[in-house]
Amino acid sequence: MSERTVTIERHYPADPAEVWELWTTPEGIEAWWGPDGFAVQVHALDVRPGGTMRYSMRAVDDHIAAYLRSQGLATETTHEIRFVEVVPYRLLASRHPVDFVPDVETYEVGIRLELRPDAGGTRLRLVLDTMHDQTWTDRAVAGWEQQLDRLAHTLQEGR
Amino acid sequence: MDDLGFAALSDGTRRTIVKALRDGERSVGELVDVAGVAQSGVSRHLRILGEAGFVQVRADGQRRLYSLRPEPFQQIDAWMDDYRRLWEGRLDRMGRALEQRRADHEREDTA
Repeated sequence: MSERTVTIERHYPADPAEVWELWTTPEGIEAWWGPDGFAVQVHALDVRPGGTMRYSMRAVDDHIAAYLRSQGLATETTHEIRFVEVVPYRLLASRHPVDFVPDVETYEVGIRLELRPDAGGTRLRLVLDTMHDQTWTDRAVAGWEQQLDRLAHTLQEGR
Repeated sequence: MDDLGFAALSDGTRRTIVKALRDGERSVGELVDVAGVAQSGVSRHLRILGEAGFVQVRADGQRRLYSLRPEPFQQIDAWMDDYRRLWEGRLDRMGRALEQRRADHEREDTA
């Protein structure tokens, strides 16, 4: 297990219900999901085992958009993830297709979110499947760390 | 009363919102003033309270007004009632034991 997954842990000064809201509602996800410089729009969301979330990510930062265009890449992309395990306020496991890597056949990675109450808030544990090589795994981990910072920032608004 | 219900009331800001709604309907803006957190935070707390059934919303022109629903509070009351009965039974037995002791002492005193 340890070689095939990477675990990120965070503490948030908000209760698990609030963290869960930000992971399972369109308003919540749009507030923090995605890397810096991108805006996310949720088009469909069905948080149940077998349910999916469809969303698009658009580069809103001019520099990032210009860079993507110079590389011949789209500035807006649509993604769909599938939920496999849902235990409200505790566990959210999902499968994310990796279909954006040139010369690599589409495959899926699993992402497992675990929440538990601890002193003064919530302990968040995010277990990510590793990707096809170390470079992409590092990118994914860096991306998630950035997103989790945005999540912390969004949670501040409820305090 | 399930875990989600108790979780909904486990947060101080949400209890402040519930308390404010005891006096009647409130808009998000009014709840922002009472709770002292940003509007996005209040909206999030209202969604949590709504999912657990504590709060309902209705449209009044452009405004959306939030109010309490009695059902989950009745469930909490029913849940508490079991404990109330347990303690009332226990306290009744303690009262009888006290009576018995006093009666025993009085007999000893007169003997």
